Amino acid sequence: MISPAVLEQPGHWRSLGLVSVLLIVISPTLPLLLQAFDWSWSAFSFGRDFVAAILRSVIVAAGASLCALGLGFPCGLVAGLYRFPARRLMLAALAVPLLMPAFLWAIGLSMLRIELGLSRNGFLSGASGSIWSFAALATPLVVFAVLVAVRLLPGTAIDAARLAGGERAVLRYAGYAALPAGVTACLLGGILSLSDPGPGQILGFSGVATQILISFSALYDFELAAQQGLVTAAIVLLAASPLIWLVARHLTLALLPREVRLMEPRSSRTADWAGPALFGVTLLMALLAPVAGLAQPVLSELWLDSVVTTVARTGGNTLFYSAVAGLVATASAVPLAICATRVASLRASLLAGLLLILVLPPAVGALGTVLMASEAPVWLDPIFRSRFTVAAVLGLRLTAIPTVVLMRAIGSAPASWALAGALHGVPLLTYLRRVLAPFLAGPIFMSIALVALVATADITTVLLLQPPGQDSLSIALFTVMANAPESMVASLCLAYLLLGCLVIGALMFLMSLKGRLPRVGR
Amino acid sequence: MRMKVVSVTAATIVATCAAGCLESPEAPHEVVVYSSVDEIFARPIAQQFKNETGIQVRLVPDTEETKSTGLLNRLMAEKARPQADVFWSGDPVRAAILKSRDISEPYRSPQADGLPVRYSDPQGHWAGFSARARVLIYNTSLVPETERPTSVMDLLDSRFRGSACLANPLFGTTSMHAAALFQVLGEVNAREFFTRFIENGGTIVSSNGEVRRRVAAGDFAIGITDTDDFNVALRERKPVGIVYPDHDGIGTLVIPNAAVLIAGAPNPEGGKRFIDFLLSPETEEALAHSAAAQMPVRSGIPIPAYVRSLTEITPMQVDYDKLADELERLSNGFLREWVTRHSR
Amino acid sequence: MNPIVQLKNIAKEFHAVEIFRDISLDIQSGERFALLGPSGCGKSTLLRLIAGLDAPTNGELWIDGQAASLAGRILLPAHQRGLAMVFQDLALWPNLTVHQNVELGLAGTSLARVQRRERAESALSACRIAELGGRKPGELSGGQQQRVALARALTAEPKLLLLDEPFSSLDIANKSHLYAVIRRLCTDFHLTLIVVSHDPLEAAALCSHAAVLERGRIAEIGGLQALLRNPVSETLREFVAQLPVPTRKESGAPARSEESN
Repeated sequence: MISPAVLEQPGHWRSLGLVSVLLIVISPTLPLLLQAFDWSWSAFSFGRDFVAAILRSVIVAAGASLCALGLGFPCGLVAGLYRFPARRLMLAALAVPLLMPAFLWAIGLSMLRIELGLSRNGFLSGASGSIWSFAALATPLVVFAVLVAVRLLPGTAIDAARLAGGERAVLRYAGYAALPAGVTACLLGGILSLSDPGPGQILGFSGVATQILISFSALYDFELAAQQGLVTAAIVLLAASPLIWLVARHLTLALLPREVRLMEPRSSRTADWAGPALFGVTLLMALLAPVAGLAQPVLSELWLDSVVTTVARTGGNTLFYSAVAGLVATASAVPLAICATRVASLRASLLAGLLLILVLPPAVGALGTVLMASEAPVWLDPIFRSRFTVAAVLGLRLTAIPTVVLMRAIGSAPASWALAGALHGVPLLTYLRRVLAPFLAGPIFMSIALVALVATADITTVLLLQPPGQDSLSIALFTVMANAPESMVASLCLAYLLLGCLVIGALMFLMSLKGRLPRVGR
Repeated sequence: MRMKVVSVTAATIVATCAAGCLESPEAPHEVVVYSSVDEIFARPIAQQFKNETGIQVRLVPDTEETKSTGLLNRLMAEKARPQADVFWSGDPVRAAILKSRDISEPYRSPQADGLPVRYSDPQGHWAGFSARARVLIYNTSLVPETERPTSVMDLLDSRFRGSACLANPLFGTTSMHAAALFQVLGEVNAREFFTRFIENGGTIVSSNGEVRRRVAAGDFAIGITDTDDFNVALRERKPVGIVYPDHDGIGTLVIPNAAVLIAGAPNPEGGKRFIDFLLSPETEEALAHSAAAQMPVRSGIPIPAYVRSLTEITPMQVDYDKLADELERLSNGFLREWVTRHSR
Repeated sequence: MNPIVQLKNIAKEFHAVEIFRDISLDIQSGERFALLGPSGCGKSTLLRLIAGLDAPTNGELWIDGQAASLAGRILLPAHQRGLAMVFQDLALWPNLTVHQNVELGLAGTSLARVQRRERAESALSACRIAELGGRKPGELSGGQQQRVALARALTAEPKLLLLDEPFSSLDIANKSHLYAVIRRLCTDFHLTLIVVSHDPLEAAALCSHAAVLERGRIAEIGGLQALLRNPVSETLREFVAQLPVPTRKESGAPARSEESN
């Protein structure tokens, strides 16, 4: 019998487990990465232009991260600590940008700029426009990460802070405690931007993602693209390593002894106006402004028939890809978080490994899988060439998101729970099933939902891996974009948004059935 | 209760995974078509094929709009064991790239008889049909009739200083256009064209769709795009005008579609039937009457009034078979540097 | 009589920092033994070694005549040592009800489900919280939570009960009541008790014998009354010095302040 005490003890199983699961997570990218190492290094990987492109991208990513942190952190903090009017509705609305591919937001901003008669070189274009597009997507990540972190804080600590210095002290304490989660989320958001050439292409900004896209789509040179991805990842990881080490050290915050009561949000007169005001600004930036640009053509004509036909054809696949991606990412994240959470150095290594996968463009994993599928025997097609493949590759790439959420949650579980189980002879599996899994149910649910939303926006992976004829709604939407009338594109965009809202609404309803998400005791 | 929830969740996961894994990747009586032609034009043709032959088409469409790595990459990666039977390319350059990488297989369709040989591969790796053209699109509110452009060289004119745009010449049909300019104008003149475009305040945008959107919105006065893009703007009653450029000079670049049979295709017979269908006069007529407004390359096909006949324009004299090599050279050299330097 | 717990030259280090060394100690069966010492002296760590939750860096640990731990190795896993423990933070599993918490404490036994239920109910009754079985830990008061932890510990019918400062946050009335409950349970179930505490009063209320840990060593050991009467260690001397005179007399401590006068 394996004792649950192992969960609290050091051991080689941690590193072994970590490496094994990371190998699975990274496996789709391996064929191209191995080719990249096998190939003579090109000047394109080290040339001045390429390095300058990396620098520009890092600046945009940092800008997007900071914007996301600046907007998302206070929102998450306030939504975690206080109740205020329309809080749930605004949280649901803020999840919508996660569904959208960044380039669509860029088109929205571009259209909005033209509508407003602003200059082509103004703040809605170029690097600043790209920062806006990416920040719109990173902000919800920060909000939800901070929200979960705040809701896992001990109730007595919040009470103590309140007694010591009123709401200001509460905000300071909770803010300090949730900062590592917020910084990690904005780091993830920024890093996701590095591999996405879309907004740059639309808004006139050329970063490293554009360079890699050129290697893929203009030079058809997979090795070069993979090599550039690796060089980018190395530089980004090097630059971000102090931050990674810092957040890895502070990401987990174990509950203090005797803390079985988590904080509950409460009403506050200030939060009644400050909450909606903060969310109002954030929603304006992250949702309403781009949607205003996108939806404007709908006013001329609504293409209901096309919308219904397209949704009927692709809705099932879209849900399948997203849901299974969420499940796969979370299923990978659970063992990773269990292996790494209790050891700071493993947490840092894990974060670095997962960020490396995120820096690589999705095409590296997708084409790597296609290469494996082409070499594999036909009987392996259900694994390599099925809808499940699409979902699995989508999910594995996004493993970082649930891993961060779950490391935070597992870190909150007192070590004595497992030790008490060990003393009473509770088998490990029973402990995991009856104690840890229910404790993690909320964060797991949120992880699946977050990955499902972000995965829905990934076009490249679905385009390259979908079994012929099994496209998703986002693919259908974007393959008609080039030559469909703007009103039709806008109708489909709105349908996509509305469906996303429905799914988010359903998820929130499920959460409300289950009660509060991260929950210990009452 | 919790056990039930866990069991139901587990059963759902297993069922969904099984549903994803166990589906048949390739049922009989179907043909897999990858297409870089926009879905809005390709899907009705696929449906028509199914109606006539009973063969289901599994269509995988692509678009440059997504700014994603496209289907050509997928075809290359699948080379060892392809899934596609046919690649329906929106231009002959991608078809020629497939040929150069041994991904295509020669096929001479009986339907190709009436098609001009200049729009097809001499070895039969791809066959060209219905064509688009590279045209100038201008905003009629911003460009008075007296200043109407007539040549691509007008993009360098001072009257369009700071108000001309061009899609990224590393991607899509603009890349083919760039290669064609190098072939027709020669290295020095073509380089000068691109250099002077920037000197005149020209802007690189992401795609031809973006050129159409932004010229129609008045963000730019003029740009170069494809006829199908222009036609979309026209149908939306945007204030745009079209010019088939260089009627008296180098001519207008004609871009035929290209049908390619994939080497080692899982269902080559189905693929050949689909190519036969694509190359038929009926498909050329259907594409001419669609929103794509494509020009039949055969003569004698009935076309609507808003579609130009190829005989009415001066086609640019290019060797389509050699454009792919030219483009590869440029993408690795001048064009790449030009784009990198001048994209903000 | 064989000691139920035997420590032979036990040492423990964390990251090359020595917590204690050369700890040798025998605890007899049925004895109620206190490990006293200031915060951070390593007494909780020593309790974890006895429980089998950690291995000593050096030395031997015997439980009931069986080698349980050697240097760097745990020979007898925690759940096979016939002991139970109430943790400092109680370690109640928050998502389970009180009844489920106690019943899951029997997971290591081969009892049938019905028997487990009965044992859990009887443990809850013994701790006088039978009526709280359907509640979750977060819905209970501090004293009730202590009793749940105690019930969970007792349900496995251990020979040895380890308490790691479990009552430090309780009010006096609750504490006194729980002391009485534990004393009664120790008698009823013939338990050996090891209590870790920094409070000699608490130790005196529960235990007959004690060892005082200071600076990684056992500073003194023996009958608790005797230790309080003639304290040698700093811990006990300071404690005794702070006691009001009548209490000192009651606790058996010498009236040192009078002597000093």
